[in-house]
Amino acid sequence: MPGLRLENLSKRFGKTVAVDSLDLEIRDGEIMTLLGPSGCGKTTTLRCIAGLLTPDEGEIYLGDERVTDLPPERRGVGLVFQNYALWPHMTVYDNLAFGLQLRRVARAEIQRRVSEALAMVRLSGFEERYPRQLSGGQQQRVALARALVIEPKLLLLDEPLSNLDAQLREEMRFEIRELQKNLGITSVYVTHDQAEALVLSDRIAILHEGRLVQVGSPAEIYNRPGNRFVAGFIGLTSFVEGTIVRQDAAKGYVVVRTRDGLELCARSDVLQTGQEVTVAIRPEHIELYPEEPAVRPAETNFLSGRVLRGAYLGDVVDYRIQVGEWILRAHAGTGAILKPDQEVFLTIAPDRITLIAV
Amino acid sequence: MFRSRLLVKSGEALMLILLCFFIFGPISGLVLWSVALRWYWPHVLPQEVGLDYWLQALGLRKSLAIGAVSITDSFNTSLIIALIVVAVVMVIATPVGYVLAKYNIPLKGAVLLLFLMPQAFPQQPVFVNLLLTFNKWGLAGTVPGVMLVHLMVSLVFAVWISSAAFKSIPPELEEAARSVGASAMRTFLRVTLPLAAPGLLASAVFVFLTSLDEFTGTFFIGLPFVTTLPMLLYSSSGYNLQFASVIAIVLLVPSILFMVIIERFLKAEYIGGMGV
Repeated sequence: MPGLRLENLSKRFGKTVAVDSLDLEIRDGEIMTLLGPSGCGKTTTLRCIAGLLTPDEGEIYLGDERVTDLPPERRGVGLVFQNYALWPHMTVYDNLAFGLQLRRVARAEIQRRVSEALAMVRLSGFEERYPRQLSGGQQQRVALARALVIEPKLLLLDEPLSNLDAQLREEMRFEIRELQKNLGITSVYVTHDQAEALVLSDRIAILHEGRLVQVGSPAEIYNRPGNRFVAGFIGLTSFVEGTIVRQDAAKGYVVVRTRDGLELCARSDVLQTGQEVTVAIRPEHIELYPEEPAVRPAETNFLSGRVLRGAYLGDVVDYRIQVGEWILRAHAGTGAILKPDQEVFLTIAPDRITLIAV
Repeated sequence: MFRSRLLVKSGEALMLILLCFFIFGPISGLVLWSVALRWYWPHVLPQEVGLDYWLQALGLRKSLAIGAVSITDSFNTSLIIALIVVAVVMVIATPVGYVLAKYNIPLKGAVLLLFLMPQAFPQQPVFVNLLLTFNKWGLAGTVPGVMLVHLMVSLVFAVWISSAAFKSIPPELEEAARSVGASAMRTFLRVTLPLAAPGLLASAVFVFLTSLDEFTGTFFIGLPFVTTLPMLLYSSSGYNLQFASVIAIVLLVPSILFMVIIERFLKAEYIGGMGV
């Protein structure tokens, strides 16, 4: 199965630039998620790949073949939509068989491949049902089978789980991931749901205002966000701004001082003294102590602050804590709940702090 | 509990009776009149009934004693005009409706306005004007002339309804068809058209009934050479209530027939999924 390459892809709608010179390579057999807030250009990109939109500039290569100008029916690309888009006047069987009939596949062969595809999505025996007789999850699995039965070179999924309820959505993430891996089909998955992206992608491409912001594995994106937008979009993050004032090259540590005199130690091999940086801190990387520890923990950042408020989330309490002029969010266990205005002490491991050069 | 159910049931029954009364009341009056040979005040029912007017109207008997003529010629004229008008209107309205629904064409408003124009003015002046033009073109008093008038009257609604039918089809259904290998044409034939069919059928039925019933335009353009059923009904309604009732019932038959057909069709399996 071939990979997919987008070169300098641009698409404008009137004066709005939906996709702005996008370069992206999706490797053979990989599932890549295009992730971003609505209006970031992810769906436009997907529709260009599918051939439903013609890009204003740039090229699309499927393997070695240039497909930029091919109509959708000649690209051999499977498509799954958010609203399933099953043909309501056809049975499940006919929905799947349609693409094969167009390819003039023999009748017996069609029957074999349709029942194989249905077995794949665990819907054997549903051949004679009409789409409206199926639940949302079943409809989406039929849509998936319909896209796969034609043995496409590439599978495109446009927010396929957004219409399903939370529990089903979580199940289907694994199901899609497993199916994709078993078939080894190169896939592009569009979503605005970061949890979905983290679970089912080999790599994630973050888009913002039509531009590619960062590409990387879920762990890379989560742990080393390339800029403030990515850090803020994936997971919860608090930001502190400052300048690097010292560095310990041997150990790979730098010290960032904020304008209100707060000093934070973080790991960085590349940033130099004098560099202005944004410090990104995840709530789960902050440890909270209601009382000042007798012995200060060594080799870690030690701060004190004041609880602004806490939100009980069931498994953790999400606190907002004022430290100097900054507000940090921290997650702590539900054992001892801190009260607003209470003084609190924080530790943050230097390894857990992400520095983003401004 | 039992009592409240009884209340609901009797309420439903009452509604049903009222419904029947409003639907069948006027029609039964027509039926009664169509078979009344002698019916004077203060009698509640006709004093003498018979199928004389029906036989006369259907051309099975030719008597000069009662004021009725055979309606078969007019009926055929009406039917042929209606069928051809339906065919022509649908040939125009289907593609126009599709384009209006699916593409953001420039001057979309202007196109719709053009179709709406004949309806935007009082009918009589429009038709009088039309008569002058048709006189010049030699279309006045001809069947094609009457067809053109019916076309003009029904086209805007047909375009409107078929455009709505196409618009109600989610574009993803067509895109999905393209993605599995269907060309634009095949997508239209296998996905779009079948899904729009109920709407298009409704549109066609509407055009048929409009044409069958059309009066004003036919009156100005058609008479005295083209006599459709409504013309015949009009000319007899003043003095011959029995004959008028017969024609009225004949005019009702297609409507009822189509209601039954549409109802059958709308129950088809896939309509439930129309609004995916």
